[in-house]
Amino acid sequence: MKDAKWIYEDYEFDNRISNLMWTVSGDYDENMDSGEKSYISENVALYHAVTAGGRRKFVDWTKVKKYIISRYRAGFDKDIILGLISMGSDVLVEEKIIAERPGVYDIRKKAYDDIFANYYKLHTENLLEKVEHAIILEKMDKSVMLDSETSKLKKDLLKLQNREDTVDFLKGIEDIYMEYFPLFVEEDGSDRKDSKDKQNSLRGDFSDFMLEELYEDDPEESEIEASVEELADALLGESQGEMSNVNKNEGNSRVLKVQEEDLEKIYEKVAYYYGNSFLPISEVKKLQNQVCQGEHGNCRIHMTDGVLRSDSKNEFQQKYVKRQQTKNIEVFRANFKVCKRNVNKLKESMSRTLVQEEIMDAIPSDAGQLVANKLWRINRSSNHKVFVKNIDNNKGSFVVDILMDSSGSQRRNQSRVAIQSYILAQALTLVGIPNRVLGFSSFLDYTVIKRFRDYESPLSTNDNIFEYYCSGNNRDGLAIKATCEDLLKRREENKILIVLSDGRPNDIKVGKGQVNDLKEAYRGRVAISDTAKEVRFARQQGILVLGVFTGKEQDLMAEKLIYGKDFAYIKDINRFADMVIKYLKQIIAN
Amino acid sequence: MRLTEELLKQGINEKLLADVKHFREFYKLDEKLQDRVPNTENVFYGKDIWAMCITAILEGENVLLSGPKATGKNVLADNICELFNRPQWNTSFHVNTDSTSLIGTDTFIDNEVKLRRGSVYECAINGGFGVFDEINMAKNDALVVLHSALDYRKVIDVPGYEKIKLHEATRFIGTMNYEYAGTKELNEALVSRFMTIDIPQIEEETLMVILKGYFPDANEEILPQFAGIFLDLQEKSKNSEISTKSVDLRGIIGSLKTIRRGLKPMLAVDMGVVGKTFDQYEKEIVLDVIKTRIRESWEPSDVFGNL
Repeated sequence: MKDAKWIYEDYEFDNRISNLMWTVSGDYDENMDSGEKSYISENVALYHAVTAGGRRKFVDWTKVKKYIISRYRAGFDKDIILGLISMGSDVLVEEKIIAERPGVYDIRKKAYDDIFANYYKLHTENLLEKVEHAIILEKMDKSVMLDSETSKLKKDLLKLQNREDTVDFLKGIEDIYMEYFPLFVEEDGSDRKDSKDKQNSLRGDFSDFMLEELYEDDPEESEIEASVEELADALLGESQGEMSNVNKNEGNSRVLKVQEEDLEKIYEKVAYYYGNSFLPISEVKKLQNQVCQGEHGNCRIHMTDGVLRSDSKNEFQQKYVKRQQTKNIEVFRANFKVCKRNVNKLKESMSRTLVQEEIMDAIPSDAGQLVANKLWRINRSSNHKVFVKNIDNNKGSFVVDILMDSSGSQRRNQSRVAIQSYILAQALTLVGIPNRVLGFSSFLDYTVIKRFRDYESPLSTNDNIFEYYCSGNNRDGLAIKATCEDLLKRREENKILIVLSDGRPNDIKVGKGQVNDLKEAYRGRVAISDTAKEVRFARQQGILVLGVFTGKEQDLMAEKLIYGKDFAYIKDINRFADMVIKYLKQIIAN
Repeated sequence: MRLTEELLKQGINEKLLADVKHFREFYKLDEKLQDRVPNTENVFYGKDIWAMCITAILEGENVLLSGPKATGKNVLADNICELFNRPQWNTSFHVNTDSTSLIGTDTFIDNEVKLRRGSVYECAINGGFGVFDEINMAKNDALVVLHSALDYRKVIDVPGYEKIKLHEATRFIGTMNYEYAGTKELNEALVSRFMTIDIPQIEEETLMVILKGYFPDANEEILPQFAGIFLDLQEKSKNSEISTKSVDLRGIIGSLKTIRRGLKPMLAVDMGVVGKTFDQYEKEIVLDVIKTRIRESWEPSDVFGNL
């Protein structure tokens, strides 16, 4: 939890830095690279943001980017290259920025003061850092003792200042890099010149970089991801293997017979892997009695806050969930602007619609509430409308439940679904509509319902939604039924349930002891009709149910069957808010 | 006439202005109503928008000015009234505005029942220009009485009153902000009766003209920095990084006025720009922008040399 929190807590400052860079460069589509950021102090970070923006405005940044990428692929250290480029181009760029924005002079002074103060605490062998400090001290007219390498590099960098042409400038950077930061370690003490030639041939022609394209995800990283997930699955599978008394029917009907004495064991495992329940046993039993009927006759429900928030001892699972959380947050960050825009749009639109609907109309009429200052009309004028009738347009308040399918089939969309849910929850919370976010999946005969946020939870709890991860089966009908139980208890007049699913309810069939009349497993037509039944039952009880389809095109029919005309198929996350707005507006206005 | 000269300078077609002159001379104005004609200090800057307004009004159409806040909609409405030399009746639509405040209602004065005329009634009989402020905040029943006045019929026919035929020179100018909470979608039939003019967000050139107009004695190199603050924030808001609260031309103009009065620039801008938003993080971002433009050490005399 700590790692993710650190990125997130510092996020507001990071956002300030990005904004400052955008202000100076004027280009909101650019992002700062980590090699351009400074962590020495706040003032230095702010100043680095200004120069980063300036570089993008006054230097041909597209060429520079292409150059960096091509060199990165050839094995250069990206941070060193960026550091050299920043230092080489700074003087060129700084004066231009200050001419345009006089206030930058003060920002720079504060940064320099901090760096100067930091210098005497600095004990670094890092050549780049030493040169950075040296250049700044020179600009501040303070002379210090430098070792010969640092001094030489400093002189070379300062010489670059005069190169206005970008390609010329980059050539200079290349030469400096080759001279001071060797690419490969010489293995057998061979001549430095030889290794340089080797490096030259690997690099290819300098102008090659102009033609190369941007690269995608680092393949290494996704390999690690996959192996961790496999491991997690294996462990889960292992636990199923431990149920030595379980007779698995290998046939297609996927029916499981479980002995009574294993019930306790199963419950312990479920609590161990998914987190402890937040409801006392009696409540759970009551809920089960009411909800686990018919198709779900022998099922059970487990309501939990998840391993990270419910005192679990399962360290491995905690690490796994944290890893998923980090992954989700990374995707979120990558699409941060789009998401923020969606949240804003949704929030504005909802608040407008809600405010409109709450207006009370006072209509002059001849019955209703008396208006004293119109009384003179009696007997004097033909207009007898001395009353007002108050027409209350008030629709009543709203409450929303968001239910996310957390089964394994959603895994490929995991981050996207988490983001969609987050957008909805943020907008609703900001507008002041109480909302709850739940995830459901099935493990053996348990349908586990994980609570990410509760109705009255504060805005910050919406971050919990990024804990969303997919594994197991899904018994949609039961999950919907269980959710509605709580939703019906709320006193708001308008209840809305939004289900994010892929139209594929799929669970094993559970029987106990001697029961022999087991039918098919919970999937295909059986499951779809059961889920559809639950949706309509919920609607009959006054809950408005909307399905948000996150699955494959081929399952669209199933989704339509289940949710009727109230469902949204969203292919592009940019359109997410618009579609949901349309639906919610319809509901609120009617 | 000063206004005509300003418009000629902006590049408005001479023939249009000649037609306006003809309009002014054709429709006489009662002496008593002369003080209802606005006397504006500032002139709206925007050649195309002016052309649109003038031609629409000359052809007998009504005009709806729509746009974000502080873009000059009311200034333009006042300018139009002055240009055409017609008296103005201003109605600010809000939740309590209903048909009686527009057309009129019975009142009891001096032991007698008299008709208190509403703004629309006055415009109709005197050939005035009616300005409807924030027309999209109006209730539907308030506006329905206007439908017959706004289209080809040009008549107000409300039961209980005599039928009023509109004076030939009567026009109606609506203004509205859109997309803020509390604003409604305008009734389509109503919009159909107006020529809608989108007043765009302010651009750099226009901004400098406006600021120079207000502060002709400001330092030539520093005044653009204030314009820059507005433009930077406008861009940021367009990219959804901040809300529209700090993007306020009135704020910038107000700050400059207080600097002219002797307030330190940093403090003035704090009042006029940063203070408009109440979100802590937004304040920081806005302040960062300002700090790149305004130096802490600046004094009022740096901005207005002859203080």
